Amino acid sequence: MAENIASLSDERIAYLDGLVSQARTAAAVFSQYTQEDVDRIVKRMAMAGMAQAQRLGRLAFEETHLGVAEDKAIKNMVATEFVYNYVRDKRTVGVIREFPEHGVVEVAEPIGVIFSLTPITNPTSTVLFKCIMAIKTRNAVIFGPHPMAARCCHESMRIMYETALKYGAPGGVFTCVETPTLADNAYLMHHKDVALIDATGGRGVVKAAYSSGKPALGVGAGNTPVYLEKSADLDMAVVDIITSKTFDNGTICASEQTVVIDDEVYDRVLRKFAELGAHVCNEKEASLLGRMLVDPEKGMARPMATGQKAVDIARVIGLAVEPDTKLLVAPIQGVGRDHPLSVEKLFPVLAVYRAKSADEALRVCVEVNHFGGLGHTGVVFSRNDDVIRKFGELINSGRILVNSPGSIGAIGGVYNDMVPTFSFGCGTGGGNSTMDNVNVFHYLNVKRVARRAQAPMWYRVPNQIYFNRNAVEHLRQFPSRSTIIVTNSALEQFGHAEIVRRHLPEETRVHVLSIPEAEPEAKVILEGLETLKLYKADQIIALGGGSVIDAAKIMKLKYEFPQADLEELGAPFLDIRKRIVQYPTEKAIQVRLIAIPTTSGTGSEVTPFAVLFDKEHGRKVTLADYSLAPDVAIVDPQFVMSMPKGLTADTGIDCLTHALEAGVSVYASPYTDANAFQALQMVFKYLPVAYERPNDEEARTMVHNAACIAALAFSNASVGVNHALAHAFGARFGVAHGRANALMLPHVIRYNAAVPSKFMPSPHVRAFTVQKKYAMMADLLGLGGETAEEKVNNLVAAIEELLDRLSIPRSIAELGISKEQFERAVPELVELAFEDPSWRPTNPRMPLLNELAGLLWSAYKGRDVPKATVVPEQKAEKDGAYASTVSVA
Amino acid sequence: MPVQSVLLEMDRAQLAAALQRATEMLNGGDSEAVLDFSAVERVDPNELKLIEKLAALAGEKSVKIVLHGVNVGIYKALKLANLTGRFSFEN
Repeated sequence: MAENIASLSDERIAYLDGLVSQARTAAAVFSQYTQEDVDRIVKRMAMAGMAQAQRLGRLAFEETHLGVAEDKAIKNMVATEFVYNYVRDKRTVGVIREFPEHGVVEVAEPIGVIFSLTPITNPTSTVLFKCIMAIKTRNAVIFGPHPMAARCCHESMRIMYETALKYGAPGGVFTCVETPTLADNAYLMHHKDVALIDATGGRGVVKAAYSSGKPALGVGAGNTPVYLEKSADLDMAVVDIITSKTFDNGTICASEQTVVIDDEVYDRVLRKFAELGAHVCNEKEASLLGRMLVDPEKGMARPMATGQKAVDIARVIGLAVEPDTKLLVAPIQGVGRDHPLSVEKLFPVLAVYRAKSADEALRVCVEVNHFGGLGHTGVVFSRNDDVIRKFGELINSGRILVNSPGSIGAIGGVYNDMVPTFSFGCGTGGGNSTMDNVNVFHYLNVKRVARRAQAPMWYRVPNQIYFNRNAVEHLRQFPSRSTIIVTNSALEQFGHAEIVRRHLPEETRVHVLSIPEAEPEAKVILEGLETLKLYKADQIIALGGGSVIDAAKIMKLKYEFPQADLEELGAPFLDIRKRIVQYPTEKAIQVRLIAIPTTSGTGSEVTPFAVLFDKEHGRKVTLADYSLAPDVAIVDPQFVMSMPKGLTADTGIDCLTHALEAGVSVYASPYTDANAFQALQMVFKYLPVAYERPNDEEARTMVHNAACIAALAFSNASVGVNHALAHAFGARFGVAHGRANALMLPHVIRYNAAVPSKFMPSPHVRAFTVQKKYAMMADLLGLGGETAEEKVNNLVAAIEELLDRLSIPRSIAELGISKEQFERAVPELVELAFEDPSWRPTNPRMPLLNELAGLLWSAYKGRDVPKATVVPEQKAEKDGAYASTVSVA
Repeated sequence: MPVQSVLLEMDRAQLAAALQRATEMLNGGDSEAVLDFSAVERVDPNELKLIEKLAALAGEKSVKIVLHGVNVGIYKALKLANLTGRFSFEN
């Protein structure tokens, strides 16, 4: 290539540079044109092309001595009328397509200067086609015609150019290289101002285009297999094949090359070929054709036969045929270099193969396809849809034509609704960048203007929540033949299970399933599942804390969907709506789940989450799906009156953390804010009371309700980094979940409130609002402060004060965990916290690993606000402030 | 040396002639030229070539040419022709 360019004289280079300069100026000017401008010009060009189609066909034939002048005229008509018919209503300037439901608009950007190489086989039609495409897309083209078709190409371009100019196209929009050489092509292919090479032609041209380093549309040679299956309409098939293979004497590269015919119809098909003017060769004649027409060294057809008539070919090689012979049909016994006639033959010689079975026929078609025809065209004649489908699957071709001729069918718009073209993309199989019928959209850069997507949000909660003392009485309204109460032995001993049993309808058969208190393991779930099956349960009542309710949720899942794979369903996800693993929806059986919490914190009675402990790997698997949410929640404080103080504190802080994290979540909405903010106020007011006076029923009721309300918030807005850290730390050191949350809480609030080193990449983040949200919470709690920063500090101080009142340890160190022990654990904790689904993508700032480590160390060192900073009088005053802003049911 | 600044209005109907006058002026002295394109909606290839020539001449003479009121369509055409860097623009 470099040697070619070196052979160019300075004058020739100046000439070629001039062509490019002229085209570049035209392209620049063209960028100002409107859709109406180009449509007006294109219409006139199509009319001019149609008017000159016959003359140009004759010129092409006279210059190239290939093909049939009349057929070339038809091709010129298709290249103008049919192509115009396709492009006339297509938008190619400005906004070309809109997808309002996706907020995406496509806008056309012209390419600029295109260097277009055109072939000897279809010279004039290709030029007409490309001129129309270029004007429609506001591009300038420099044509590099095949040297043996230069004059007719130039004339075609002249007609298009003069018409385009007359109707307003910019001067210089088309130029044509005079007396083109390979060196000219090489130079233009590498010219800095040529934006695209569009190479229609043989393998050499296409390879040169792709080797130039420029963006290229290279399309090229084929080797079309045809499967003539026994169910086909044989008469139609034979006529179509003759029509196609003799059209322009076979110069269209999509024309049929080898017809594979089922044994049952082979003889009939050959007779029909003969009846309609084909000469069916005997073995000796076929051998002669192969020897004479195919170059054994190159494994390609000799150019001398290209586009020649069958009778002329026969005469030249010494084959005696009737004078009106249209086509030479030559039986072959295989495909490949040993079977010369299985190559591409751009002349009216057709190989035929007798297949003993459908499998053999398809295999031979695949062989032909892979013997120089990958990506181009395949044809099948059949009435059997299975055969057609199988052929489509097996043959690697951009165009798979059914019951229609190859050459004219592949062009598109005549026998089918494919896009009309004179450039057949052959995909990667053919070494091309496209497999399409090349069209106007390949002459455009399509820009996508994408609006910020405001994903629809949700607020999903169980449709029945019963609350306050004796809410359990509502159990009477749920008929059941067989109910399993899932609980643990301690609660059974407290008599809670008996209370529940008493409130069930009389006819209900009840079985109590007592499970361990810890987070459920797979073994517990499977045992529970067996119980459900044994008793043919139609109702499950989960009576307990978060672990019991979670266990019941997972049992229900496995009961209703036996095929559910818990390991797989626990796979991590970034966005619940786009998760890879979908929860099953086809229920094998229907069961009602009623959740009755006996702690005030987890909110599991309304959440769509459940935690499973993977004992084998020592990790927790979080399941999340709205199908896990209980059908009914009964939030009755009588079940929490006996909660020990420590549990009251820990679970209460868990509830507080839910409210705080949901309140600043990226997924927070007015719906969830209402819940989160309300729960926050209730916890601040009543949790200390419930802790200090465990028998205060009002306080217990309010904290119990607050836990459920906060859970409504985080069921939809999720939580954040605090939970992720608490999960990792709690599991590693055996610290209760609520307590682990408490140890992280002040540090995480300060962290979230600071300007982030990395914002959370989410369309829901529309501004840095987290500080304002915390400030709103401080205002609701009446904590005072002027600036947002002061309010955040006051909120943190109030939380620290609350934690102190609840006797929550002030640091991880206070738990007796040594610094060395903790230091060893931190890397793993950071990894686990980062992998935890709690924060993704809802935490208001994107946590970095070193930041997570920093938070863990802050929690280790602990909060430094002195205990009891708020004197009782001040507290009373604050209580008053709460009262003024809280609306508590 | 004092700089003489000349304001030339570009006539929409006779842009080529106006560009030609601007070229002659630059040839005649060391003027800084402000070409007012406010009335021009589009440029054609001939006019674009003249603008290119003008830019080359201004470069040779180290004269600043300001294009005033160029619409974005013309600006993009100048950009595609690699000419924007050779002028100053003002609105």
